[in-house]
Amino acid sequence: MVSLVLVSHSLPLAASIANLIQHIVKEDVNIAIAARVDDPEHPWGTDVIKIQQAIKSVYSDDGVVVLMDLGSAVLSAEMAIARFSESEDIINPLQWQQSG
Amino acid sequence: MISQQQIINWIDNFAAVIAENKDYLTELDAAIGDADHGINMNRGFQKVSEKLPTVIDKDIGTILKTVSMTLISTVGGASGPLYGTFFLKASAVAAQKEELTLEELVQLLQAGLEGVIYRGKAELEDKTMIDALSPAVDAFQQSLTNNDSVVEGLQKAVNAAEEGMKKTIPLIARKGRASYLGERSMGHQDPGATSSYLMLTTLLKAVREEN
Ligand SMILES: Nc1ncnc2c1ncn2[C@@H]1O[C@H](COP(=O)(O)OP(=O)(O)OP(=O)(O)O)[C@@H](O)[C@H]1O
Ligand SMILES: [Mg+2]
Repeated sequence: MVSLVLVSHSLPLAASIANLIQHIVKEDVNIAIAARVDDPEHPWGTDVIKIQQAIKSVYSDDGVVVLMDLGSAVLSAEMAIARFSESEDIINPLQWQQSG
Repeated sequence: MISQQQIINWIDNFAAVIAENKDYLTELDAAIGDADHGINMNRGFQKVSEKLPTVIDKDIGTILKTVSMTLISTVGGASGPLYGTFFLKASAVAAQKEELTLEELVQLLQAGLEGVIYRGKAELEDKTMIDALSPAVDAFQQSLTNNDSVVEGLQKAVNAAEEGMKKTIPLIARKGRASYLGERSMGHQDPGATSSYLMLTTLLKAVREEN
């Protein structure tokens, strides 16, 4: 079964979405959250390494869908997917799409 | 020749300049973004300052790679992956090098710029850091054929970056958060272009001071 990674600037938002999904889907879905940055004063942001770790934590051959909110979440997720693909020696799905 | 010490001074100095301009960059971002560019950059470069002593005797490639990894894991905003990729691509050009020729410094900045374009897919006049970096690299490259000195070449690059930065004011943003504002992004200078301009001024300063 496909796993999910939720990338968000807001931890409560991501946690609520994860909760809602678990309620809707009958089976157990693997959901990992990558939200906020490690800065207690200014937690607002997204962290490439955290996203990469989140992908790794739920990865299976069925694949992972990475969902994100806004702004830097997109760039950070793209870079995390590139770094994860490289580290696991698998094809980066984003590049595969681009080249046809 | 540009020495390893000058590169260290550049990074060290850029971290200090970012700290000094933290509020200014954040104000610029408040107008068209989410008021965090200075905070993001400062969070990243404070960590870079802490890490710098651990690579003080390493080659330039290792130093720049360390800068890259630190930025990727701490900055948090769009500028994290973008500056992280800039320094990652730059580090590849300087792998195992203790000093750089003028040509190599041009290649280093060119590779960094290409990395930012690859990662962010922005074009000229999208109102991003590309608007400062791209004309600067062009001017620097041009000065190679003019047989300029490193300082002359970098001065031209800084002038071009400053011009590019100011030219972002009337533009409508097409990339990043500012693009959500559409026409309302007009009339404001892009924060990322401003930090990129500062990065080049500190490089010029480091190269100008003998070592
Ligand atoms: N796709 C892009 N290509 C090049 N530069 C970009 C791109 N997107 C944004 N930028 C630059 O990044 C700057 C904003 O960086 P900042 O650190 O404030 O991130 P942010 O977009 O606010 O991130 P977040 O969504 O986490 O708040 C912009 O001023 C612009 O120069
Ligand atoms: Mg911002």
